[in-house]
Amino acid sequence: MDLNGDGRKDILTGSYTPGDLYLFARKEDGSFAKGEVLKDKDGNSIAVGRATTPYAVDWDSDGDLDLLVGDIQGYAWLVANESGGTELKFAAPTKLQHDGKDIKAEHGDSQVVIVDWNGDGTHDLLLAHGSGAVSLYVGIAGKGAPKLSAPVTLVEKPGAAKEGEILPGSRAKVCVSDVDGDGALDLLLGDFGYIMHPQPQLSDEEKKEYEALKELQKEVSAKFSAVISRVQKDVEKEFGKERKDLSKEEQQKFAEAFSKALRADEEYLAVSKENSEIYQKIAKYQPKREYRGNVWLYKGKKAEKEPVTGN
Amino acid sequence: MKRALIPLVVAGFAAGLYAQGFEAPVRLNAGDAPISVDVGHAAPYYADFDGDGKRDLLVGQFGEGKLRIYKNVGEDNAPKFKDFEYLKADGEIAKVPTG
Repeated sequence: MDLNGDGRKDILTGSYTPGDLYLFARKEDGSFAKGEVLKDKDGNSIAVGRATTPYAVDWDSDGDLDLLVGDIQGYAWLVANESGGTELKFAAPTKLQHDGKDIKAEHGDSQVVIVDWNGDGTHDLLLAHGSGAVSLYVGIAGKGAPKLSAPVTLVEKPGAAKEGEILPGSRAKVCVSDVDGDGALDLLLGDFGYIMHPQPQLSDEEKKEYEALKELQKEVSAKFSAVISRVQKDVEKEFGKERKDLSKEEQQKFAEAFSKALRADEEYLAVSKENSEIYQKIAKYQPKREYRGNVWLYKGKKAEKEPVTGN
Repeated sequence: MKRALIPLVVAGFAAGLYAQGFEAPVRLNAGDAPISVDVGHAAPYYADFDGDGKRDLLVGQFGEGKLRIYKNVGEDNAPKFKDFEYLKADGEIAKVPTG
């Protein structure tokens, strides 16, 4: 979408924390400018929460691009543009509601996509859930922003996979497009999941080594915690207060000083190195979790015959 | 592009049938293997990125907050993907904060 109104397609993205929205503006030569944090009309970042997922569309049909943003809590935020044109004049975010209640994704991690799903010329809203499900709120035309009808489930949250089977996972993120050009809208769904690799069969010697490493890991991690709390006490002395008694502003300064002190502490660096070496060694004896993020194509079925309309 | 079906879908909506259902989902491949992004959390977008008239696949990932661009090496309506490049901004691989 062309967010800055220069006639070129830009890239708009959210981020994890603190959740700022980034505009990568397309330049004349087709390359992209450095990411720029989107601000509201008062100059504040539009971070509605963490793990943000923005979608730009003229939601209220007033001639400008508004933003619909999902976040880690699962809300569907509307950031209305008040410019009425190509300018970006974003108002404070408000939560979209249905039936007087905030729209909220199951298991948080919402993403909102606006599309005319049923082809009636009015925006419909797709909500992708942390659970992996996708629901559709059909928009009902009115003045300004569409009203939303009750949600229907487009994609159920995934069930339990059989051994060796890989099913769509959680934290669905979707894109609607007629991928195969057959006239029926398809869904591309990105996910999050993991594959568990079972613990390998160990020889007696390896078992002994594994046990020894587990013992060593306990010792090192106790040492590690001790160093961290020693350094924390030193920094608390500097601040003249315990960490738990700090104000929000002081917390920030404390965190910076603490991290600086840790990086300058030789014992911390040595133990931290020892700690990660053991983790690496022990990993080959343990069950392994491999993260994956696939893209699934849900091909929309073409209607086989004309449905009864009732009029 | 999707105009042909609209009368049917509108009629379906009137009858409360707008969710037409999907075929069983399949994973998209890059070459012979399923696309899988670093640290998961794939976030796809399908659009003509390079202006060659064929829609390409953009996939955001959690790992380092980067965006993959899979160029469509097949046809617009029968996409095929092989390699990807990370989105670059200002000459460097673009990243957004992942915490």
